[in-house]
Amino acid sequence: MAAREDSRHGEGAGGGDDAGPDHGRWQPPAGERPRVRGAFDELEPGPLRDELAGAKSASQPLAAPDPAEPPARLARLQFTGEGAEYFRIWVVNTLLTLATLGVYSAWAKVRKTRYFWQNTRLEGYAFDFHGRPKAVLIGRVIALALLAGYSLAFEFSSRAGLAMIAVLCVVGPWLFARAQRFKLANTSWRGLRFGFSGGTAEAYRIALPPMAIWFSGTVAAVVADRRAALATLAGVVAVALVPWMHHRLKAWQHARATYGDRNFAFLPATAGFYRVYFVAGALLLGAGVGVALAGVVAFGALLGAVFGRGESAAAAGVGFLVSLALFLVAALAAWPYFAARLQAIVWSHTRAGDVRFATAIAPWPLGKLVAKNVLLTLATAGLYWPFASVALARYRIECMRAESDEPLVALAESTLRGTQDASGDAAADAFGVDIGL
Amino acid sequence: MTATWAATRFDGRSGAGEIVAVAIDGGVLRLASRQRVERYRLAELRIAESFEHAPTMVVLPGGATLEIRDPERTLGAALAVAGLRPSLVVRLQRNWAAALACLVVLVGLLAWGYVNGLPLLARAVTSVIPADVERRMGESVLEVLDARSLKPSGLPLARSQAIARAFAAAAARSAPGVAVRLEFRAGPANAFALPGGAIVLFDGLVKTAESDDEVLGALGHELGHVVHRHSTRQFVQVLGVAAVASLLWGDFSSVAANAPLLMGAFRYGREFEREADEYAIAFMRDNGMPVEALDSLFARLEKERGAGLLPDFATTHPSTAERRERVRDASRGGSPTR
Ligand SMILES: [Zn+2]
Repeated sequence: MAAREDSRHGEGAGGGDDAGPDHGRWQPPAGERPRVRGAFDELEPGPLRDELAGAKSASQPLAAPDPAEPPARLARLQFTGEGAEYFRIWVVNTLLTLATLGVYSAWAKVRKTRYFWQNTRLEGYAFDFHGRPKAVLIGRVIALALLAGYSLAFEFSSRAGLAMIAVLCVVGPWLFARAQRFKLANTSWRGLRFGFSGGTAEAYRIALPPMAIWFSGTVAAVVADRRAALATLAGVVAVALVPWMHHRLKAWQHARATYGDRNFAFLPATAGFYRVYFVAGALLLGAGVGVALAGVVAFGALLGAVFGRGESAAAAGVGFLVSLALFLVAALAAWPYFAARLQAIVWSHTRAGDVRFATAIAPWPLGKLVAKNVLLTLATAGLYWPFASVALARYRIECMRAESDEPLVALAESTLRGTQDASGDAAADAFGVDIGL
Repeated sequence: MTATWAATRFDGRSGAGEIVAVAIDGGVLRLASRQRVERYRLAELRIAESFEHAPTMVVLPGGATLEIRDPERTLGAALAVAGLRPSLVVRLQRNWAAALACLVVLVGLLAWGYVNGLPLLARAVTSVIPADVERRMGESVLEVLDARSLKPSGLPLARSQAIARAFAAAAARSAPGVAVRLEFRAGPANAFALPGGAIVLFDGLVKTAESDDEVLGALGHELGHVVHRHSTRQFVQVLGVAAVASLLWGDFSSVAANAPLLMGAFRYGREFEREADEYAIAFMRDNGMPVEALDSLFARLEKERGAGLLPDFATTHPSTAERRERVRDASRGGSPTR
């Protein structure tokens, strides 16, 4: 334990470790420190051989109990990515994606995911992502087909639209489960895969009710022949249940996650979700009043400009920009609150055996970061975007904490994968769908 | 005399790792742990592209993995010496000059795509959109406009019916088989065409025009947009720009990204307007009407300057001078084609 504590203190000071921060963060975990000389004798003499062969330092018991240390172990995530490096990756990825009319986007997605995972470290060890680009491509084609089908179906006929909703209800839950499985089963830490144990039947039980509620407004509008009251009622019910739906899906995602043979768990937090949605909604509403006023003026002027005389065009332009700016401000006020508080609730209710999670993410710093990202991205015609992605990832990742009574490394070592083989969940490799939640 | 790197070897069945030393020697990777030494040919390993501050991840035959620490970034060079060069893509993104060159190409590709590629793509996509879908698109746009801002026409019924009859006859001659429908609404001297063949004619234009020929000239221009399916192509182009923007910037504030696009959605490009004007000239000739009527209408509209953001007929681009020039050329030079 002492070794890790040292490494954490060493980060800030950077003291005495001439091998650079990269090397400084890494410490051979206590249990692995070899204590006998053997094959390392083949190595040239030097610090590496000393370290690996455990000449002196390892002869001291590393896990000596420190009386000052609190009983719970706190582990933080570190992020080592850099904007400049990711900028080059982004440029090349984007160019190839455009040049191949989007086909390369699957390869780009895999490289991006690997970049962010491999630069994320827990206890000195990096995460990794193993998804195959072809699987991502198949997933994207399926998702695109469904999206296009859904957005075009109602243009053909109401019947086609309803049929498309039925198709979504039939394949949606299954796809959602597959997406979770693809994402988790292709992510690893210390050579061991995460996983998702949610089955297909369960996927329908969990995801069908929210989907049914979500589509009820549309279905009511079509079936009841545009009887406004019924559709409005269904819409209001659907909106009122959004936090419940979000919680239901999130809880399932986290409760069915696995690492090796360990299962994650999720403690219900519906009330917390409602609180966050309510406050964020109130913030948006409050900030939105001013926006709405400016917006009404601007929209009136816009319509005047569209169908009226030329002079109002300038007024509309100004009004439109003002209301757009105000909307951005409102969104910037509400979104960080929403994202930060929701993350905090989700992680504080997630467990992996004895391991508890927490995030120090907070609305104000997140808001400042997002505002900076948006402004610089706009000011650089989009070129700041990769830097913004890295800055946001660093903040979110480094806010994460894992806490347990035992060192995480010891937990990981005792974690066996059971009967599954090392190549991972084969079924999860067939295709991956991006469903961001 | 070979360099060595510290690594952790995981068997993939548990999270327990074993500290090993890695050396690369003539196409062979040597793993030295305290119990044993293993040798693998580089060809049988899966060595992932590595990033500047991240460890290098290697999959060994059988599914075990290696996480190699390489703080000095020396492993890549050693692998290259052993014959494992990174792929072209990886080499491009590791090199600032190459990445910036890619950026230049990217910007060039975006510019070319916007000017040339997108219209071609839009034409191709539009050609496979069924007419029925197009008509429904137009209907829903008109529904929204009617609900929000458009007022019924104040023209005498006889007048609007006469215009509608004359236009229907002319359109049947000029563009047989093209579904087209005339809608009258109150408004300034203007007209516009919707996907699926609906043409909205504002009272102001009828009042401004001095003859029915002038009104039909404006409608001929709109018919040109209908025949060339300009509004649908425009719609597809806007969607294309939005798709590229989301490819580039992911989920970056869709409001900020899409607001300018939506404003541009109703604004035809110069090319579309030129095509529609040419169509209007041919339309006048086909129906034995004087092409000069277009010129005199342009002249009157120029005085009124009633253009708005959503043109279409009284659009300001191309400039009215340019449009009049073209019409006058046509009326001088060309004898009626039919
Ligand atoms: Zn036009």
